Amino acid sequence: MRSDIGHTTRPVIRFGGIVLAGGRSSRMGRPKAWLPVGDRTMLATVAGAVAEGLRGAGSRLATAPQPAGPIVIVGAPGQDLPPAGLPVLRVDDDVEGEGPLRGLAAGLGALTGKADAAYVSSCDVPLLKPAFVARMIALLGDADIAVPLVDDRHHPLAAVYRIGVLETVRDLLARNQRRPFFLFERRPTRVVTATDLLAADPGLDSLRNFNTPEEYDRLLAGGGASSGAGAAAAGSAATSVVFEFYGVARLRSGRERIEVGPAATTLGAALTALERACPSLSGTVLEAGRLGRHFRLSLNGGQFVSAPDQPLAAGDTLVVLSAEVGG
Amino acid sequence: MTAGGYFGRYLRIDVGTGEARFIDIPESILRHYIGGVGLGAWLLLKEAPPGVDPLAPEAPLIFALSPFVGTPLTTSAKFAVVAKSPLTNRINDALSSSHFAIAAKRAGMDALVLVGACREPGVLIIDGDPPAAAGATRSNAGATAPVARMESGADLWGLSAADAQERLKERLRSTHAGGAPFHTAAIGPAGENLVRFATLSNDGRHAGRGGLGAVMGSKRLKAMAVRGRAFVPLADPKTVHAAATDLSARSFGPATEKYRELGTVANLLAFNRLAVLPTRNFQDSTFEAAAALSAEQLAATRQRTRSSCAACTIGCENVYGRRPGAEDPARPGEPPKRGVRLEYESLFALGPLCGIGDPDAVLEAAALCDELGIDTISAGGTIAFAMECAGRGMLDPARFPTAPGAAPVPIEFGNPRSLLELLRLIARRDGIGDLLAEGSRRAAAVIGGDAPSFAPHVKGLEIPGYEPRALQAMALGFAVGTRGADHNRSSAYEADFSEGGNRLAGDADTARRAIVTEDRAALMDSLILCKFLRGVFSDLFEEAAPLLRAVTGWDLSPAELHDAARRIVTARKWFNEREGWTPAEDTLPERFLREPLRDGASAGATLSRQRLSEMIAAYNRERGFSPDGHVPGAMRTGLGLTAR
Ligand code: SF4
Repeated sequence: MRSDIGHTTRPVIRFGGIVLAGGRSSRMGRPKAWLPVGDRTMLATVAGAVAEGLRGAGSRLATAPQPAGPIVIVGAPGQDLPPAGLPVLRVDDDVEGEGPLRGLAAGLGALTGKADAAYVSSCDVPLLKPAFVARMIALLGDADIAVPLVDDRHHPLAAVYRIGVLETVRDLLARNQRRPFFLFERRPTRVVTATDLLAADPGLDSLRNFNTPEEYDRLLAGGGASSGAGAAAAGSAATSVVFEFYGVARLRSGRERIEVGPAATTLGAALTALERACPSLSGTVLEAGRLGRHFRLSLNGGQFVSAPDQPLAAGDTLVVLSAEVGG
Repeated sequence: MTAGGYFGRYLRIDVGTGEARFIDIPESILRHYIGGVGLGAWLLLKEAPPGVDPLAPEAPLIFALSPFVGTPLTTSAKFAVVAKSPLTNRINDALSSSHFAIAAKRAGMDALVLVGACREPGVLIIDGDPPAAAGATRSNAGATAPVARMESGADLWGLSAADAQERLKERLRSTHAGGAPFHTAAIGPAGENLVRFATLSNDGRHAGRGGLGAVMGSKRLKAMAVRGRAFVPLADPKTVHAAATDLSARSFGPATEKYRELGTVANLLAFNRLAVLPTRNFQDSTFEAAAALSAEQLAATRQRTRSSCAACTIGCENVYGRRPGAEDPARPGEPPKRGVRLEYESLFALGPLCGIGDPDAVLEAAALCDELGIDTISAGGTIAFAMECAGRGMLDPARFPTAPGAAPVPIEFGNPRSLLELLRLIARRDGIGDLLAEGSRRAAAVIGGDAPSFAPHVKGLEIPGYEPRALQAMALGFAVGTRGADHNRSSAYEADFSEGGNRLAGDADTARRAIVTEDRAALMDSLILCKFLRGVFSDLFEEAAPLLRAVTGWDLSPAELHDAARRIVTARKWFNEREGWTPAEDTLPERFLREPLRDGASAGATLSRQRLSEMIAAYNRERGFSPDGHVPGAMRTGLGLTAR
């Protein structure tokens, strides 16, 4: 189909959203969907961010303001879920506790005929940013799936799926192949790296979920997201940290130090922000959003750290040096 | 038939009589000790009479090659020089590199053992390509020994090692025209004068630590030259070549980037930031002038050229130009003949350790050490110690005149003149230089009082540039190190600079981690591959086994290589025991166990005697030694380690 001369346009894709709310929340001790985030529930917070993201994606593709696409909430059979705070379609996972593909199948089934693709989210990401949702949608392109690969792991519940993959999902379930990775192997999948997402969510807070009450408290206490429904609800404490560079890291970055923030509450977030600020460090000092194996990070000149969930405090200094110190 | 990569023999030369003969090395020994420091330890146990004076004619000076020398494997052109150290009276092995290694291997040997002593200054010529054979078809070594001949070295005596080698090569070009080129090694004036930390030099590289130059000097052997045409067959040349290509490609990657881009001097600023940079004789761990001495600053302000050992694709050598108007250390009034090769260890020892923050003074001192043939770490450590003694009023000029008959030289931290003058006095053994030429341990014993508590050595070997109180795996490595305070055979700094342990609070796990690095180093140093290549291996033992298999044809497993590494560590330890080692030697000077660090990120760091003892006990346990560190008889028997 052609419109303006010299430009090819693709068929308009209708996007919807799916929020999987049926997990067992066993380590939390209470249903995640009901947890408070500011004055809303977790489910309402996440559903709101997805809806806003869908609107944002639509408005970039169209000239006039767009209504949000349809949103499906997938719960366990008989599960009591709080109101989502906006019009949604509630469906049940037909078999409980079989992992994300089962919920994905239910959600995609419910959207069949109503949307062409959907942003799929878990319901335990209170810092999900609408801009992140919109960015993921924009990155789908010609692929069937767009999924983030951050910190060496895929994030299938922060991903976009065409409704057409339902058939493959069902086939995988029939074969008892329940890992989302099998789906990525079978359908054209665009793997999205941190670099592609940083503009939309500098701290990649949208990917931060929780499984225990402590993680939940920490997330909300130090969430530090600068925008978005989740952040607004959680409140933010600005956390800036300083990276100091020595040797090769200094040569690569072209500077002695840099301050990053305001959401560097964990090492993973700080490295993500660093990669955005100093793209020249990618591939050597930083590898796929993590510290490269030939480098070391000393926290305030003391212990060496590398775990992405290493908590950081405002004003911390991370000294970047080569791992090879033999003389 | 001998395994690929080996000739299965060493060449033993009595430099006093000129007698030279090949002696077979059983294949089982090669398989157990591999080469380099491993084979060197075995040869030392075999050739050194128990209790021998390191400077006596009977004391052997060993050049141990390796199965990889002469193969296309990157960084493999290396050899170990092994002897009983005149500084420590314990085993000493230092690695050196480049063409000398290849030439010696091509003379048809796996090692060279020198015993005896020349009556007059001499030069040893080992000609594995004498005129009759020149142009002949290459062969596997031939059965005959290369021609070994002693010549006079009188015209070279007194010269720097570099000048002596240049002149010797010139001479050989006219006397031995045609055939393969000779490659040389030599000592400088410090070696001639038996300075206990004199170096042995070749191709601009140095077997630096432990006084190997003095051992050569005690034989009145100024220089040696070697050439050959033999080549050693490889069991599986195709696989070796493929592995060499792969290893070279990996050597260009991020694992070696630091060495390629900045060299080892890049450590200085980072170490200063972490407050592990020994300063003013280990009184401080940060240096206020570190930035001026840093690799980053030197790279920005000096002419710098990069160079490498033979057969190396990394090229970590950074050679810096001197300031305009600088003089050649050997030719006052003339501009320097050569740039200065600077390593972190030289930079730290001649800079912060002596309180010197002027980069030109440090470069000049490094050039002077090369010229005189002295180990920069021991020289810097001993001079820094003297500076502290002087500051405490312990060097009474009447008792310790700096240079008899000359104006006294100020001895104080931060004074470049002190440093440069003391280096010259040491090399000549003039005045106080005669005392300092003995190293800090012996000097402290003479100075007396509290001096031994802050003399910066272990077993007599001066401590390199890693602050032990803030790098406690390294502290353990120094304490139990068979050649004394040695970072290379231990490599325990790797454990300190990684996650999982606490560099400020060592424990039993620190000991286990230090053993892992020591075993890896034993293998690297025996194969031999440059330690700067180690980052390219994910699992050294897994990856080295097929490499060595392809070279030798042995059906080797990684576990067998691990056994070999442990055997090598134990053999070195057993040599020390045989020579009188006692558990009391495995410690650090009192200062490190008494004084906390006071500055920077390491402020307050302490290493108590109790903690060090616990780490040592854990080390001994893990190694299978007795609780106080003796090699049990059964272990010795199992490893075939006998008294002689
Ligand atoms: S890395 Fe450096 S020391 Fe090692 S072989 Fe190469 S040039 Fe020589």
